[in-house]
Amino acid sequence: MGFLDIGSISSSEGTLKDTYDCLILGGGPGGLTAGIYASRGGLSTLVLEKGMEGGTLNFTPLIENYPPFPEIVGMELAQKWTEHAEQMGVAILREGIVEASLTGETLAVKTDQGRTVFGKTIIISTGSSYRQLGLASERRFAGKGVSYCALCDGALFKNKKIAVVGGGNSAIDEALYLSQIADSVTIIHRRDQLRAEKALAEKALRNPKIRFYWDTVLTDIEGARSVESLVMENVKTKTRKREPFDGVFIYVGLEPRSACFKGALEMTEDGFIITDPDTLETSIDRVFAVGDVRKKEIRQIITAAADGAIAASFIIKKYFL
Amino acid sequence: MPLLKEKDQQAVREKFAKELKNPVKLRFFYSEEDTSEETTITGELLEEIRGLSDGKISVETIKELDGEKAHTYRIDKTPAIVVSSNGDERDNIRFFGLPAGHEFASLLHTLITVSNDYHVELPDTLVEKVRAIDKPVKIQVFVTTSCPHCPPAVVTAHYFAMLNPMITSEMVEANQFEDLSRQYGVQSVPMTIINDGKQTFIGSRNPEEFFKAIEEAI
Repeated sequence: MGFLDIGSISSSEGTLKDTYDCLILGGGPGGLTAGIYASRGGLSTLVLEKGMEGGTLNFTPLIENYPPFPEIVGMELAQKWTEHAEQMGVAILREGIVEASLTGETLAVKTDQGRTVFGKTIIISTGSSYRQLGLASERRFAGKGVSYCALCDGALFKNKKIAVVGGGNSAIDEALYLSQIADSVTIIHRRDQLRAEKALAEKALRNPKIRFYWDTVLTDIEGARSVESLVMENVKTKTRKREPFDGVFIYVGLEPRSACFKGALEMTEDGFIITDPDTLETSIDRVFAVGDVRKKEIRQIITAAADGAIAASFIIKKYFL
Repeated sequence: MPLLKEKDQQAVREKFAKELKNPVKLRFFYSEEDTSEETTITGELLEEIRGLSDGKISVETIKELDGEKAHTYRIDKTPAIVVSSNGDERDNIRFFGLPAGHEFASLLHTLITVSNDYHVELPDTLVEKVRAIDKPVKIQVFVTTSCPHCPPAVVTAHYFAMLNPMITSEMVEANQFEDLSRQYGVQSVPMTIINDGKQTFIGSRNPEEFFKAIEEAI
């Protein structure tokens, strides 16, 4: 039967303070770890999370590179992380943020429930979502055979023929998961080798249900009411082909969730928040960014957690000692 | 062997002891023709949670799909669960299919909310708007049990039904009801269908946005 989720929805309890020493926006690995460090450092700490605590972990079927767990289901790691944070006294509010005011003595955010919460310091750990390819047909067929969530929608493609676009860790992770459900999985990748880590790549290359179209990009998605075929182009030979598929899962990179802070904070062109590399403080004093949402080279669970620890520890040292 | 691991049983027992207030009634519908594993397990699962509730949860099992009760409760497919406060005959908060995986969290939260006088966690302004609806609304939220986005959509729909008996809210497990999923072209979840397709949206929306879709459907 699989698992039974007993705790991902719970009633909010306790009363909120007006102002927190440390307000953490997003409850993924970076945010929760920041919460643990801030709380242990004696700061009153609130994490705002609109989805599920653990963030993207909940969408990762299997994690094999977060030590010391050789194999752990993402959701299980998310639950452990949340329990740890709660044990350390971190308060969690299940609301998203719609607006941030980062000027003045006290920083403030407005939530999607119309509430305003104040913080003496803020850590932005809003993470990222999967980027779209940008095809018009991709938008047209979103939810009609085009998906960005293998865990959610994979089960609807039992014994079907599907494609995965991308060649990084996420694409390969999800292709391996989908290969357990679908009849066949075709990985469409624009280069001639995978960007994913070697152990993962080799697993996919060995999987009899997974095949590869190298040097290939997806140029169009066709169908009447839902996805029926994909049009692809070989980037080297410039030849095009059309092939029937029932669905396509797209993992071509990350889109930072930083729209709320646009104009207020220094960012890269793609919207990744720029921080001091040592302290993770942003262009505004007392505002920090950790994990996937900040400009960095390596986006992993372990580096997000490390970011959280660094930012919270530095906040304590600089602003509360 | 119990479906819930021992540690989870303990956690659910504690949660129930702390959060259940009034008695809750679960009406479980199945039919003799339906021999699916999901239906059998649904019955076992409900029995298990009843056993953890210190008498607060009761389960009525109704076998005949063409019988009077199924008709009264508007049940046309199984397995089905109708949740209400004990003593009231409300039939508008419903689960179709085995609520396993993440949907088990939806079921637990629904039970607890019903048990607490249907006290929903929505902004007051929205509560008033939902209560003011005076036309019939049917919300079907299609889910898969492995979908982390789905429980918030189910819970929001159920909240609306708790506030207003004109609104019927149904969780539908997409894989167990393939024909219905095909009819609505469900290829991504959560997918919400209002009044048999008057309005349709994919993904989890915040309650205000969700309500706008209802307004547009009626």
